[in-house]
Amino acid sequence: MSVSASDQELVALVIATKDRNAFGELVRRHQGLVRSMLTRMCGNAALGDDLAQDAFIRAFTKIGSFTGKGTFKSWLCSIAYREFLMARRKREAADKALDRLMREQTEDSAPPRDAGSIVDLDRALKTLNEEERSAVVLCYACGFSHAEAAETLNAPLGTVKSWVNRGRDKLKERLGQDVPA
Amino acid sequence: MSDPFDFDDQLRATFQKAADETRDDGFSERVIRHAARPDRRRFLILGGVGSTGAAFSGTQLEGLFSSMPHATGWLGELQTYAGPETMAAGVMALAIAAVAFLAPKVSVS
Repeated sequence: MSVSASDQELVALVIATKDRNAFGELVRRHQGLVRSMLTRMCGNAALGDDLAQDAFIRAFTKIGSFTGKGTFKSWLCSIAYREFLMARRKREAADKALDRLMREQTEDSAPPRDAGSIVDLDRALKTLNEEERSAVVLCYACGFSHAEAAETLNAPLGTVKSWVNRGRDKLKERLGQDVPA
Repeated sequence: MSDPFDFDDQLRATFQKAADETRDDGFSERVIRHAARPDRRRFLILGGVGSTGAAFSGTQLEGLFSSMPHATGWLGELQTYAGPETMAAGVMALAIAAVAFLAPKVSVS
């Protein structure tokens, strides 16, 4: 499989021939983003990986519904977000307890010293509520515009902007202003 | 005072770093393997449930047809041509055909 092929070309090949190698290349390109996005949203790497796998398989089976409006990456992130929501509903009761536990742990802990590290980012994200976290992850990790995030989150644009700004402010407060990349 | 856009860029870079560090080839291979046989779990579950149900209902049906008093009408005619085992097998065949018709539309995953 040519690694120089664009996402659109690979998608066209998968739609036409169900070529698993072409889809494999798409998975290789986007797995980091999708797994990282779901891990940040769930706050759990193992669950994030499981959901990412489900998201890619769903993307493979539904790839014919990708119309080319927007990028493949955005379409994939939207599918991943829906997987997250479905898992969230299934595990709502367990998650409430987990969230409470995580919040208590976060409140008890001191602010991170090594601002900017991934671990600190994860800890800081846990101080956000679910809407803020989802909006921040979609906009900053997936590169969604506010309008795209509003469509994915099924919320008014103004509300999403407010979630992003509030989330960003909380992260800034938590991480400090000097976040080494 | 620091530039507010600077923090945004740094935040994006940290998310990017997290994504870069999450990549591994094993994950891609697992996804491709699953994509190659997405219905495996469904087939295993439906097959297992179907086999168990068929074994149980087959023995029950055979017993039911054996103890049935002589019937009249179409059932009576059927009894003269087919033994209880054959009738039980016919009912099971109908049930399997119905499952085969429904199975592709049922998702258990």
